[in-house]
Amino acid sequence: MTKPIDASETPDSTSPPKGRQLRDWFDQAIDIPADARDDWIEREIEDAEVRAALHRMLAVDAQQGPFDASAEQRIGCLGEAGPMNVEGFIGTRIGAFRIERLLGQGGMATVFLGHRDTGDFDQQVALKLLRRGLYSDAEQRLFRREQRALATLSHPNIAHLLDGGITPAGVPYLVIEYIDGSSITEFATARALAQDERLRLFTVVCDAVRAAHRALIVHRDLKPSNIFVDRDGNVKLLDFGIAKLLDDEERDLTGTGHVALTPGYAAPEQYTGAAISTATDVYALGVVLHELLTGERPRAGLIDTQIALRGDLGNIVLKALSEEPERRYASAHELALDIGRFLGAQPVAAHPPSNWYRARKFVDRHRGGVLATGLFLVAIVSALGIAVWQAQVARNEAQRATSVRDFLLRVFSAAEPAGPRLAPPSVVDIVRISILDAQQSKTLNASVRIELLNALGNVLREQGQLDESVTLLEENHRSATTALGPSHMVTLHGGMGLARALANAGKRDSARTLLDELLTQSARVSDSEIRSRLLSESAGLAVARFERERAFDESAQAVALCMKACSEPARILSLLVRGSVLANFQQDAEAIAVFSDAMAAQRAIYFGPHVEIASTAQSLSRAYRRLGQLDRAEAFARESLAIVDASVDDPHLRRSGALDALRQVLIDTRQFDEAERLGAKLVAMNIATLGADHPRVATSENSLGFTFLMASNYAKAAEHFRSALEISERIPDNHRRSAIYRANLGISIGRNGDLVIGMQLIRSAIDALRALPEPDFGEIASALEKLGALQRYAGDAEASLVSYSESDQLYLDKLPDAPKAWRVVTLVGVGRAHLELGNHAAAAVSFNDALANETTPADRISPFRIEARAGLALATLNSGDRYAALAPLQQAQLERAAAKGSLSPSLQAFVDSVAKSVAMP
Amino acid sequence: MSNAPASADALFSEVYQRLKGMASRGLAANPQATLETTALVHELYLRMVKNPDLAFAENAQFFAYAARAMRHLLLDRARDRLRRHDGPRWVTTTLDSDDQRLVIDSAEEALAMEDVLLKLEEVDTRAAKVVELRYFAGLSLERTAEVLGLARSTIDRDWRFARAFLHAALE
Repeated sequence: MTKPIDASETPDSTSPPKGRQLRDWFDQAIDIPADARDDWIEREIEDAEVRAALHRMLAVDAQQGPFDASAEQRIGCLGEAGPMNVEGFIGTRIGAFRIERLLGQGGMATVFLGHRDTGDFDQQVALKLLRRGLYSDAEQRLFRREQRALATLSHPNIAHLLDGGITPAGVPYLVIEYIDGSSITEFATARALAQDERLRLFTVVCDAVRAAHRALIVHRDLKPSNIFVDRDGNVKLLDFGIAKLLDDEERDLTGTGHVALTPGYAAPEQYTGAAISTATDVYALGVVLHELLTGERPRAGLIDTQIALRGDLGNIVLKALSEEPERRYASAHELALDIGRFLGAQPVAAHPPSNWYRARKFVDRHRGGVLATGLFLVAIVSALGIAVWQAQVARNEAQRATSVRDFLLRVFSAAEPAGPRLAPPSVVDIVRISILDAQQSKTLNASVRIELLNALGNVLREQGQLDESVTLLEENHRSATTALGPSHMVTLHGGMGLARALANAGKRDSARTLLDELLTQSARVSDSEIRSRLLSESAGLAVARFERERAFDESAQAVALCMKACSEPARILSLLVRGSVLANFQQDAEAIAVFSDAMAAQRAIYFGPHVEIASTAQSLSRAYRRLGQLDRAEAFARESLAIVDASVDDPHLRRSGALDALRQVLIDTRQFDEAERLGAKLVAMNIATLGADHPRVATSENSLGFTFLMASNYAKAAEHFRSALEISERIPDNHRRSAIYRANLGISIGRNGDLVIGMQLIRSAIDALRALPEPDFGEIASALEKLGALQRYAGDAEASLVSYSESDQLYLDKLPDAPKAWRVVTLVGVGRAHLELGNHAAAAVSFNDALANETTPADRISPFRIEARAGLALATLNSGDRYAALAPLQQAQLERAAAKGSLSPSLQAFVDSVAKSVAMP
Repeated sequence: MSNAPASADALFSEVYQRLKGMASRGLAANPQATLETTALVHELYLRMVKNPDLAFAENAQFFAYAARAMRHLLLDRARDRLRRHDGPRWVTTTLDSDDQRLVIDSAEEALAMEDVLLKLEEVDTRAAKVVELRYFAGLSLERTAEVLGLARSTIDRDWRFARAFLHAALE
């Protein structure tokens, strides 16, 4: 390492005597008139060597030498002798253009004014010769591809890329519209523009940037010298995407990760090598805005609030300049909108950082950068959030925040690799380290320890480690009850997490017992927010347990409690749960009203599109779908997806709900191709965000399999169900889900022709479902339906009848509160089996039952209703009443026609054969 | 220090930018030392940008590092060029013969310049530092004086001596 320069040091003291002499003599000599120097030297200096040296030095003193240029020029010369030889280019031709004069030189390129003198018209262009040669085929291909993409970018405020290529000597060049004007800052100064004129000019810049972003082109090097205003006052952005053009191959060649950037305008992520996105340009726009308004760039992210940037305008600049990309404006457009609001004296969206933001920053600074996903962080931050909140309540616990921080530091340093490793530590790895540390730590006090362990248990649950999560949270809940008391806030929060883990693990009875206890305890607490959350949680569980009254009652209480004293997010949560309860019990119209309320509240607290709003839009889509209002359902699903697309990276977990909602609508509207595409995207996205072995990957594979099943593509369906099953079986204690997937695999394999294996799979699934500590009767009934179907295809109508009857018995005995539509499949199956067995009267009863239970609106396709009508026609015919058979048959045929060929081949064949029988005299 | 914060900042940016430009254009095959120095400048720059108070305390160090980094870069690049000249045909054929001669001459001269600069360091350490800041970091003599905390006239004399010494030694 170089020693820092110490100005007080006397350098000459270490010099050899002769050097010292030389310097002294030289200093004296230059003070003597030039024509007297030679004589003076001969007279004064005895040492012949020094004399000769001094003569030489004085001779060259008046001449130019290599040290008069700059090192930069020389290194450029070493790099590319061609382009650096600027003079040599003047007058030569590149493509259709003759080079006229030098316009400028930068670190990356030399720009000439070019002139097209072929053809019928005169055209002046800027010719940009890149300094780096592109010598390999691969580099040249990449350059040409990028250049073609840029050429498609056409916008009145973006200088158009006219042409580009690579000279025979390997020098890449770009031909760009020539703008005769000045930089935006110079323009504003020269015209002495007022603040609002500057702002209006700036919004034009934002709109141009937005247009480029829509074409998926990020500038990456926005700065005033790239933002020109021509003589007529038109804004023209230069060099769009060129930074990337240069950057990619540099990264490849040097492997150093050095990127092209302009200090002062470059966003933090450009230094750290994190993902470059449209937010990178938003940051640079923030810098330009600051410079445009104050005349100076912000220093170190601190804006000048003293002068021009007080209040809203300062907040706008600050938001654009946020260190984390996700805190900036989501797009250049939103930045422009906020400036528009400022100009219109409306409230702006930007606001100073909140306490929550500060708390999160605190954790961010200490996280050590080992996280594979954000889930863990989110949970820890929530824990810290509580900790900080409590520290404010009880000052004697002020040390808790410090101990949490120390804990995090220990954990992250433990998770950091001591040596090379193949992959970053998984979230579960980190959580396990954290748990051990939290359990053994002597510095954490009991309450903080319990809070942390609760948070960690919640992460385990979300990571699908259900048994481990239950064990940890149970133990922790016991400790909390002992150490803090059963109605302490921390105990209640932990208990709520445990209840959800129990419910997710299928232990719904245990979850119920626990939640009842927590609700009793919470009655002693004056905090209505925790009580509302518990009621919501309990209502959610009640839905899963088909406890209709309870779900209605508790979700209504949760909403009512929150009307008074909750935070707005808690109130919105209570509304969302209320909406789901209504939706789950088929009160979709009411659900839509509640979800709409929730959405209005969300729109009030979030500015613009927000993922939480997207999530509510999904709920609305589902409710409208069930009401059969498929246009609205599709519109909300697409809105949800659009919001998510605008708000999060791709891939991102938050996209999954939106994709799935749209997929479901598309199944209903029988647009299977797009549904399949979305399903496949969902799988890929889950794998990318959660890893290949996550339970949600299995769920999405199952959904995709289901999509194919509905499209009657049984082979593809089997493929995806199998993949869901394989993933699920690798996850410990996931027997319930595995059994469900196995049954689905069974039906698709069976429908694909392999009846024996299909039935075996379903039987083993049923056994597994029955063996669960708390059997899931809904799933058992559903598997029995599948078994019954395959048995009938196999020609065993008696066995089929047994299976379907058993399924129906479960609905009647064990699932009295389940949606009545669930029985339709079973009743149709019972009817079909009776038909085969010649029990026409019994068959007719079943089909009529099925039609009575069917809740799908009349204008929507329900394959089971068509099957029931056709079955009813056949049963009626076989009972001897050909005339009475006509009505249900015609209905079936009408609905079949409406389905436009999207029904399964076997159902279509069934309707055809019934029609034939009825028609035959 | 008389320079206003904004202009000092601009100067850092400019020097930094120049260094980045050079680094991106001129990396040799195994430029470990260069990379380390460049990283050092990079880090120092970020530190100064993050904490304006540091800027004054550390700007001398910053420019010293930057100059050193550029010097490494240039040297590496020159050696690399000469190595390639002796190397496989496919590398040399990418340049046409005139250009190639120019590059080789330039690279040889760069090595010679490094040799004489080493000699100057023995003769007059401070004058050599002035050369580093002026030639490699590209600072004006005015800036060099500010960075080193010396009078402008002193720096002028240092520079005049240095360039005469160097150019004479090169002949």
